[in-house]
Amino acid sequence: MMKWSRAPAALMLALACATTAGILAPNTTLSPGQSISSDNGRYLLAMQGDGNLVYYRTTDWVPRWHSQTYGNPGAFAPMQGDGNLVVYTGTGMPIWNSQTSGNPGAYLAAQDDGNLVIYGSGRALWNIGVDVVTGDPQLAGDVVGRDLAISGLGSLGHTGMYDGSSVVEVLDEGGNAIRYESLASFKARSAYWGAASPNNPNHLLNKCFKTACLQLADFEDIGARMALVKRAFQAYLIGADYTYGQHFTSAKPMVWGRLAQRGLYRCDTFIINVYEKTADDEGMGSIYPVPQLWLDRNRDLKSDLILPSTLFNKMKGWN
Amino acid sequence: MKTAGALAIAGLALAGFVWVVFGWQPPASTAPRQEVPAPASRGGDQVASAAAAARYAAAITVARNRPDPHNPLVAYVPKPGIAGRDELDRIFAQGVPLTTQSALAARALLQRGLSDDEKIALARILGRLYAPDDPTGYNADILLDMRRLLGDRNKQVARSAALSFSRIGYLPGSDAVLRDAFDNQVLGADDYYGELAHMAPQAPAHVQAAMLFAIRASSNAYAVDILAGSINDNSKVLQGYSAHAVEEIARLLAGAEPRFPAATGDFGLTDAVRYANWLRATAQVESLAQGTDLDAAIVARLGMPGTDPRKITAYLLTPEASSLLSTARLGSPASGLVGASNQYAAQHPGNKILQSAAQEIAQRSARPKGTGR
Repeated sequence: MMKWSRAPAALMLALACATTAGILAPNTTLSPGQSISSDNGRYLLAMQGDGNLVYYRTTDWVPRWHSQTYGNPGAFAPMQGDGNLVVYTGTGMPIWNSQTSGNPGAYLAAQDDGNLVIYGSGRALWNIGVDVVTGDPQLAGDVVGRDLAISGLGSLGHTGMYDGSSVVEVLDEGGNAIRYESLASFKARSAYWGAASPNNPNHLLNKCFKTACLQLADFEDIGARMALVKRAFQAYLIGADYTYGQHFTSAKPMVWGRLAQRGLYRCDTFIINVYEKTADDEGMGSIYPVPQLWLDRNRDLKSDLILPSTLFNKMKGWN
Repeated sequence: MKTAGALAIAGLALAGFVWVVFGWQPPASTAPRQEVPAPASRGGDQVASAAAAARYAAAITVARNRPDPHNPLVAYVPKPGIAGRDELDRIFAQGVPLTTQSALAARALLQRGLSDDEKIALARILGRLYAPDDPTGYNADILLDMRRLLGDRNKQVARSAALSFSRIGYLPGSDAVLRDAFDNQVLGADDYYGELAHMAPQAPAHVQAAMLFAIRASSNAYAVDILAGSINDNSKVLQGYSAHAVEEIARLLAGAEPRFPAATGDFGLTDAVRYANWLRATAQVESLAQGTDLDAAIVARLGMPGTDPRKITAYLLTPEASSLLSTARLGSPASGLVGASNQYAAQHPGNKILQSAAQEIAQRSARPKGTGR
């Protein structure tokens, strides 16, 4: 069973010969062994002989997406006139479809940015998303940085935390200081620094990430990576305001005798607060052991002058 | 609007009076609310009233005489602008003692005249100095100070005061105060509807319904996130709502299902948490109204043909799905959900977050309930 493989050079050479422009027009079919590639040649959609429809990145032949229909030799993939992209077995039984029927004239495009898109009536009906590029975060909890968008102060920097899709950050733009925006939007605001992937051990924690922590059952067993995401969301729901200094106030959930309290953060201290929930947690500790290296590294973040640039650089060094 | 403002001030004054004289404590949790004794019935008992006033006076005296030699607010020297705000934020972060000296110092600073930046920070401090048991002895004065800051011509000062006021808990007229702040563009939409969502569980039934209706009419996604989160966090929250309010919540949630990004390979964990909160909150409301089984309602919804597999993955990642996962048998609806989630992850082999999610779900599927992550 082929499914997909890293370097099927001979096959790819054969497929490349069959490559057409990066579009699969309505009422055309990708038959076994046929493919389309993006204009820049970096991405290729192949209808494999094993029945799997696979979208490869040709620089390393890593698949970006596939229909998971291997084990069906002879399968083919028409871009139907009704707008649905379907994979049929050799005997004509549908085994995967894009759920985009009802859009006559829609077509499939293999794009230079690594996206595979079905367009209809001038809009994307289905797409897998653009490929990651060098410097993009790839794991939840990765920290991204960019220049501070204030003339003359750019090098101080601005930081946010990636959740797999969006970036959560603290901004002084009125309203709740904790915001979510797309990675593309974060990168577009000023010179992008890239991502720091702080080698999170994803250790087990037992914490409450609700807006009200009133009973033992509110505490959950959770991996440290998901804990970062949930803590950020908890603080977002509780709300926070912006402060210019490096002293921060943690956004606190409701407990018996106290309502939820808004936090007070700067972009870098917010990340420190989110991360410390997976380490010493402001002295609260965890019922499970936290790796000593993780504790030390998180303490180090608070050990001297805190700036977004120093935070980012320290985390970049957490290999 | 003037009427609302006047009502609110009257409400505040009444609340302050009731608070001080009767030691009334606002509900400090989402547990079922205890009925607040009606002031009129208790006020009729003049002996009890006098005793309460005497206890209050004694408490004030004790609080005033409590030593507090290193109070950071007493030591604060006003500095106009950002420097002053930064200094007060530092004091706030390090913790202001809940003492009479703190309240007196904060009030003195206000009367002395501070810059707008300092007032923004001081409004937050005032909010923290207010506490149900009135440890400073100045709750009523703090309320009035916050009310004054709410009317400040600088909207950032007024916003800071409005949010601090909101977080002390529901008081009669609180909703009108917040509404005024919203109408006067002191609070933005997320601020306002978000505070309503935080405050609704503590409000009396007739106010709750109005708050929830306002949130529904606004379609404010942030407020829905807060409400869904609070219901998902603690199903007992629903017991604190009237039947009418629960119906309002059901309508509100039904019209506000969170969406995932258009790109099928885009799986953000915050989106997952947000969706799972909404799903469980919706199922809890349904379960309460119709007496249906919570897990069965969730499995039925997620098992509908054409369901976005990200919704399934999002739910299977929650701690609440553990029991479902541990009992998934071949051919069962639960195993169908696991299969759909696995297939989705497999289709995006380069997405590390999805692969990690699939691994997590697989581990929990293989593990009996109650044996760790």
